[in-house]
Amino acid sequence: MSDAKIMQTNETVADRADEFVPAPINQESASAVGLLTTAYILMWVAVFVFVLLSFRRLKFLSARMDELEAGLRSADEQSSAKATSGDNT
Amino acid sequence: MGTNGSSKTAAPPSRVVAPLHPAWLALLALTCVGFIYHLWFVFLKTPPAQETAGGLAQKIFYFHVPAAYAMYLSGTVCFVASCAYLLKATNTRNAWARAGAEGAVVFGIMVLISGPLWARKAWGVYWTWDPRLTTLMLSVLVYLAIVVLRRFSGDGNAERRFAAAFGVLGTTILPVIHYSVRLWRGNHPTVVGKGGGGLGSPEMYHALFVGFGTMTLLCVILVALRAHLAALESRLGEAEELSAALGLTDGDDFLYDDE
Repeated sequence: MSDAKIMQTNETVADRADEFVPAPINQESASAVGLLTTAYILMWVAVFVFVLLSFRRLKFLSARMDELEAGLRSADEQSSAKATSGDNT
Repeated sequence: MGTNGSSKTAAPPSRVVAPLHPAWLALLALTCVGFIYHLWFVFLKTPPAQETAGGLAQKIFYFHVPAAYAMYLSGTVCFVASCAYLLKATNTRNAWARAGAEGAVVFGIMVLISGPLWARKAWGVYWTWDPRLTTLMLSVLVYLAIVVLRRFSGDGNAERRFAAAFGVLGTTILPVIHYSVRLWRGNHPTVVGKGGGGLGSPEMYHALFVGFGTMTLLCVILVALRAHLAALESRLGEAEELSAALGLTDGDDFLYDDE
């Protein structure tokens, strides 16, 4: 196929209708195994990177949540201490 | 806050653990099983196609086409949520619009990775400026622009509305991609659907449909996960702003004095 196929840009939609049919494995198929495996691995690498970035973002949000929660608890304790000292006086 | 000394600031229910809900785990398990089965079936049970269609490399088709479909699905989520956000702005709608764009980028990258590897075998070149390839790449770039915009331009209402408008306009390219093989001449084959030559064996159809199913599940999981994260980030941002407005915090530092 190669360049000759690429140059055929005058084909209509009907001309390009293609059927994929079963065929025996031959010597030329061997080079396709590498492409197939590479494609499959790279596609999953893309998914894993996306999931990894999601977990990183989740970790970042959890840290922000912890910080806010700790600040609010601290504020609550200080406010309570003030109220208690006010009652005592 | 806490004026009577009681622990009113008890830890709020953490929504971070929502993805660990049993329904989520079941969906995740189903997806994993689906992909393992798909992998086994495609590599060991599905016959390779003729050499002019790429031979063994044609098996990329069973991942490539479902990934493209998942990209359309994510783009549709982005489109619907963006429209909804422009009608009425809510955190949830913004989160789904953002997640849809992110999903479209990931699945678009999967298509752009797998397609050229098949083309190398079938056409002899990795890339050609075929209408479908070109429009797909433009679409991925549009969604990437939305993701970058949301990542680096802040999360104000103006930025959200701009990103939503971009999401609506960006998604209009999707039908152009789909019909580009019919509208313009090019090299991309038409195999399934109207005008396609079809697949020559039941195993090939089975592999394709299992691919559609598993990729749909993956799309649902990833987009919903990202939407959950985006919604969580919005709520957290609002809580931080509220905390600052009440004088409890100033950015990262708390302002309580000890007097």
